[in-house]
Amino acid sequence: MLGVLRGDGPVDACGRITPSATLTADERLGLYRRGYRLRLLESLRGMHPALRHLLGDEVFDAFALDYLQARPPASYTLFDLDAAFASHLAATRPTSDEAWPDLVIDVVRFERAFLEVYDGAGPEGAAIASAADLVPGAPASVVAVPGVRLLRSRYPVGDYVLAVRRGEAPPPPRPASTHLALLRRDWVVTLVPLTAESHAALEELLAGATAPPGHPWLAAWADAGLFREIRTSRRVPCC
Amino acid sequence: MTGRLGLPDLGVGVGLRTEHFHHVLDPEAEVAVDWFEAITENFLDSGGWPRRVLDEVADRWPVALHGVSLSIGGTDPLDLGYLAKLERLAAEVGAAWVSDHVCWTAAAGMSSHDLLPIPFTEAVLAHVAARVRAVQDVLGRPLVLENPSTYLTFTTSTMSEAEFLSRLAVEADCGLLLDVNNAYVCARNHGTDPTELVRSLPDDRVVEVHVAGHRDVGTHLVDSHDGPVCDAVWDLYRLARSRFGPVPTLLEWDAGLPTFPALQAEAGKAATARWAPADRAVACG
Repeated sequence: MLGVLRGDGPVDACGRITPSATLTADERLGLYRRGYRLRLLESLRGMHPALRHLLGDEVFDAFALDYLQARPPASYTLFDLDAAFASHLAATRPTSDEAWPDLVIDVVRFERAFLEVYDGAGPEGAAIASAADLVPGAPASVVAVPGVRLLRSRYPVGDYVLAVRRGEAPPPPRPASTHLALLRRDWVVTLVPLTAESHAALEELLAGATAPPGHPWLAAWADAGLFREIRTSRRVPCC
Repeated sequence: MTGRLGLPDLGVGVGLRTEHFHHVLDPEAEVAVDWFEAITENFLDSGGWPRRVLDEVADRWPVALHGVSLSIGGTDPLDLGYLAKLERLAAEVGAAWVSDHVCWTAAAGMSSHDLLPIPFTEAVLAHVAARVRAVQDVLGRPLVLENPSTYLTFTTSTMSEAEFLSRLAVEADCGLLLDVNNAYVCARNHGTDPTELVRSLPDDRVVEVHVAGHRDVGTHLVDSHDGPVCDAVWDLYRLARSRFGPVPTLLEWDAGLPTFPALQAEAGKAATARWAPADRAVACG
């Protein structure tokens, strides 16, 4: 039956389903095929309002159904339905030099990251470090709050997605290399703008690197709520 | 007050839906329902605001968990990871009970996210009963199983849905969630008696009743949960009430949601119907 749900060919009940007074057996089985596609499509529409705004309903549905056909759901939860959507789009990206496919992929990737930060593990209820935890002149290492995501994109899709979520109708963004950190604070998803340089530095910090004294961005990141803990070691004065 | 299987009689409840989070948590808002039902899969892995809301609701009202992915009628092995999460969630929110549907939802690692029908045969009965017992062993509590809406029946079925569910409840020692809207939808779709399920289920096993709205699309009814309960389904509910006595009742409304005050007003009709005229006559006699 699962093959029937996913298939495009004629529905054949193979004599195993009773007809009703109003529907043939094949038609009754076909109800489940239509229901399967519609339910999953509606879920993707809800998870990707910005992509839907960008592409329009018809093209969005085409992309979504292509993805669902290639990657049928395997998880018990619909929250995982779009987990591979961005990678599917990247894998099937046209090989032309046109840039718009990258915008589509960037939007999907951001919307997925947004959902993961919104409903994943977060920092609420636990202490969060601040710039006051830094010791002047001392190096520092950090422990990130749960749920931090670092994103690189070819388009500034963060503002675009948030605008659509607010009910606005923004125009498609123009290409501009963009770096962001996403985190959640008091249950609200927050964006911390980064540069290419600061993105790389934050990535290193989160991987365990130590920040030297006078780090250019550490205090600001701490006050943005990125860290659960800042570990410093006072420098032992030389006698 | 306790009901069947030692489970509490919670009164009349509604589903906990995202659109109503703000209203339900507003200390100034009126929330005139007795309990809430939460869709299990929406909260199993949630670490964000939805889970926070469920925790706050569970602090103030009784909560039951209602799942859609257990696939109790399936042939893939039971998902022990899912069951472990379900057990933990049920414990953390103090779930009054845990329910799901008599159906299958997944096979060969693919999930349909639909409540797919099963044939009603001796072999399927034995298969499902064994799985129910296994799930109850993991959860450490009775499972409550609902009759789903279906849009086809199998030529291989050798018994009615009523017989299947009745025997399942006894053989697996589980509870039943009687959805009278589903009973009505199935009866219309399959040309059967809508009262059969209500009249046949063992009255010591029905621990919850669902009421909901549906759509008539001409060739069949669709269990759409997108509107108020129709008179025919209220009639079935009153029949259930007259047979089973007071049973925890839940209004399912999942799409085209009204405001919370409108939702609880609709649920209030169940509260009125719970105390049928016969009861008032007895009380006044």
